Amino acid sequence: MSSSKHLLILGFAVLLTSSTSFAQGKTGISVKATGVVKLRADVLELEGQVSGNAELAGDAITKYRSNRQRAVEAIEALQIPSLKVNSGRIEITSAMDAAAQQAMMRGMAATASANRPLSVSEPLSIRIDGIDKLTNEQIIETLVKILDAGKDAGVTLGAKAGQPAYNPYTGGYNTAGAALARFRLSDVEGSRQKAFEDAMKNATRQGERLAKLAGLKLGKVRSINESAAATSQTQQFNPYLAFMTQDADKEAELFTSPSLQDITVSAVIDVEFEVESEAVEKAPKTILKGI
Amino acid sequence: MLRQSPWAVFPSVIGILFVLSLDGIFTPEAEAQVQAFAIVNGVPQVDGPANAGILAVDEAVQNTLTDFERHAERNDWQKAFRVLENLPPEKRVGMLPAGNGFMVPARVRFWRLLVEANAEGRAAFRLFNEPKAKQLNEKLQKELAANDPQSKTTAEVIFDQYFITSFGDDAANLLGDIAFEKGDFADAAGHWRSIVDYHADTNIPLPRLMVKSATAYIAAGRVGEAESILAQLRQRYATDKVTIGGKERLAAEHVSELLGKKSAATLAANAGHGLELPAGSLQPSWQVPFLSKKGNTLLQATISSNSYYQSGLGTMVPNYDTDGERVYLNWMGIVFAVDVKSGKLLWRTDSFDKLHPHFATMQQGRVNLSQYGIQVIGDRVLTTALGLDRLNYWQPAIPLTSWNAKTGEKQWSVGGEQNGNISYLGQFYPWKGGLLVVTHAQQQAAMTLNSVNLTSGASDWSMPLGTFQQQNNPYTGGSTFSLPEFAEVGRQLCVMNNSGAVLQVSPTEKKVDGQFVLYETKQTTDMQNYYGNQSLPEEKRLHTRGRMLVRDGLLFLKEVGKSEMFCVDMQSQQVIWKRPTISSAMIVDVDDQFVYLMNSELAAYDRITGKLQWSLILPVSGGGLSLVSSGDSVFVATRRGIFEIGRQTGRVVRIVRTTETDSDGISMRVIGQYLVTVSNSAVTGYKLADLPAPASPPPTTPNTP
Repeated sequence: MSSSKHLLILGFAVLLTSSTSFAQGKTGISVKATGVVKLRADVLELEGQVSGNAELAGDAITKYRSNRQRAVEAIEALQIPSLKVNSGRIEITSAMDAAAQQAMMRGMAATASANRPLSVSEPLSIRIDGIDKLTNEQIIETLVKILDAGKDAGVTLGAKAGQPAYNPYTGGYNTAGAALARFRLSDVEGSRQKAFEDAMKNATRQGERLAKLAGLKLGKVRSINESAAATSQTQQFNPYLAFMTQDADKEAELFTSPSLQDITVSAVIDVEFEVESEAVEKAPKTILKGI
Repeated sequence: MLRQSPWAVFPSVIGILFVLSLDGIFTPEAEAQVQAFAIVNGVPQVDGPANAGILAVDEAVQNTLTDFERHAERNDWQKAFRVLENLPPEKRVGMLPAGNGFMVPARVRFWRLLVEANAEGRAAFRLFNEPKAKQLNEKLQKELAANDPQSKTTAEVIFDQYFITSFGDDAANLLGDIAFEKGDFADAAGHWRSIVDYHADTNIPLPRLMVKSATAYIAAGRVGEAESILAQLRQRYATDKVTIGGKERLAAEHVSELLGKKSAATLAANAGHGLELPAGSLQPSWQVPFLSKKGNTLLQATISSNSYYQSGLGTMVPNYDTDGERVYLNWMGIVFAVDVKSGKLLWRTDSFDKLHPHFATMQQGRVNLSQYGIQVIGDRVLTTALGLDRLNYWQPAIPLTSWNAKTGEKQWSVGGEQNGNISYLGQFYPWKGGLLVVTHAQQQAAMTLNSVNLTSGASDWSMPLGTFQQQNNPYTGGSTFSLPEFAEVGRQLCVMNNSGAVLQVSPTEKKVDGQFVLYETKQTTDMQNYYGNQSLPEEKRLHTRGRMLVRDGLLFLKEVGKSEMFCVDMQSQQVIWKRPTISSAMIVDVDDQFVYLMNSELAAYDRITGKLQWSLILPVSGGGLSLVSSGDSVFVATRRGIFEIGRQTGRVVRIVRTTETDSDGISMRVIGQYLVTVSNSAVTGYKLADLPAPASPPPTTPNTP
């Protein structure tokens, strides 16, 4: 464990399968190994939305500008170091008026009316880097400050929109009780590299163990493949989200957590080792039967 | 056109009037008094039809008008005026649509036809009518010389029927002088302004008329019109002088000075009602809960188990009123009084807990929650409420009850099931020692305006107001009615029926003598259907209602559930502006700059143009929408504290935290040295002069007086 990097973590070998074998028709040992690292999240993210709704476009813009300015000012006034407010796309939509909604509910055709209200909205993303340097207490305090400022400013903050909880009993999506914030890793690639290194160590160790059992000596790596990693159930995983988000965010989305806990990054590899020829000759006949 | 003016003596009289009136006009007290002075629009008021209600068009008069317009369009003025001759003035009665939603007296409509005629039409009119006007003018001179009071009537005839002859301007000037002398400033301004606008060849100096008009407008509180005249003076008559009080001075300079005095008086008036909140949080001096914790638990459980019904019961803030010493509340039929200084519960008509078993009935829509009105007049508290034992009745009639303000003793009760099944709508208006209230027979939509005698509860007089639109109650199959709104413009009483019209009522003559129809086509209500999976509509959650407020002689109004907001001049029958807003929003205040609308947003619209100036979202959770205005700030109470908002910028200046974080709806009012808030569960007093005390639970007044 390296306290200087605030990394928790554990490299421990998990052998998912004992699928060690000698390759058919070749001399070698194949292993599947997993490397797992648990890292402290260093990024806190909240999502909010500012909007302006009105029948007149001018009014909608005025409201949107006013609401946005107020929300951004209120959050920036907290003077939290490394806090950034990122704006996203601006959407201009024309909502269906109440009469049209009523008509649709009655199964009637909704007539478009000229006075449909206009909505100008923009998602705001609030990001704080370096939270791995803060204690849990400090993180919670910071989070509460932001949420309070958001409420005062009339902006509802929460986890990223589009992640409603699916209710399998009703078949609907329930946003009640949704997480308010997300915790994630900023350096996903580096984290995965650590997991692969750990997986490789585990693979070597596993190969040596098997070779020793067989009275063989592990040789060079003949081939190596990456396998799909299993995902921890406690970790937020939305396979569809990865397709919906931008490329750069795809992988990052896979390593986020709705709760303040360590983020698990895992890597699974299939490695095939050669077996040194001298050792093969000395191996018991029964073991070499299948080679 | 040069001729001797018969009113050569009037300038000096008017000069004296101006000087004498200045001291009184530009004070806050005078501003308040101005509201009581009469109106009119520069055009004569006429005797309307004897019947009342929503006014109908007189078809015979309408046909004459149509024929006149048809001939006028072809420039066939001879035929046009012959049509008019066939309808003599005494038959020009009834009401005619003005084309902008207003119904105006027929004589006013015909007057406008004349002044809007083109040059050829005017010449033709003079050719036919100048001799008659001259005759009338000679009669008028004799009456003036003899100091005969009939002279005013004669001048009105000249003005009404012969305004565009060479004698109409002098008649208008005389009528303006008379109105000014009587204190009917808007009427005076209207008459003088009509000369400037429609009698270009007058021999009365236009700068003088404009100065007179501006002075009258300022006196009537209508600064906007005065500023418009000032701009015209600076542009067209920058060097023209007028004689005021024997002194000659520049016309524009004089009006500018008057406007400056008016602004100073307004500022002084506003400064006197300052609301200064302490820094940090605000600790209550006292609190009287009427919805106990046990009651609230029961209420929430009732709402949860009856979630199909969307009554808004959980966010209802009771109506309240004050006499400056006590605050009186009507909590769904339980009326009680709290001393503002001590927070002591002085009296109540029933135990608060007795309401608990009836929450389900209320939630299930059997009760119209807006029916619980309250008004303090002198030592009486007037309420409309249904007895708890009648809550389960179908469409019960609501009685009006008077209580002794000091003791809570019941004085009288009228209407209701046991008194003729007359139902009183819960919105009152104190009027000349009595109380104006609208009633209807049970399950009937025909409304009657009553002046209730406060001593006996009997109706001193009544007049029909026509039919109000009924709203379908989807849960009971019955009907409910929106509450009317009252406002005075000058001496005219306006009643907004929340059914698409504002009625101009003359209580002295007991008739409706004008109306403004808000919508050209019949409006359908959007919220007639309810679905169990719908969220509570914002109108229901915030308990918004239609409002009509008066500022500087103009009406600002918006009906409940409709998105249009109007600024109308009832005196000149003109729509100044109208604009779409949010249907769930309610007008909460109008000041000298802005009209404030509130739902879950507070929005400020420019009072002159109707343009949205700023808007901000507030954590408003329930009913009791209200706003307190002070200096450069406006204050709104929310469950997250009292928001102080910059009036010009719409920016939150600060948030003063209170302890009412659990409230679902808060209303706020400054009463003496106390800021009193009424939430859906408690009445709370905050002493404004005190610095914030250390945090401690507020003293709770026991539930028994």
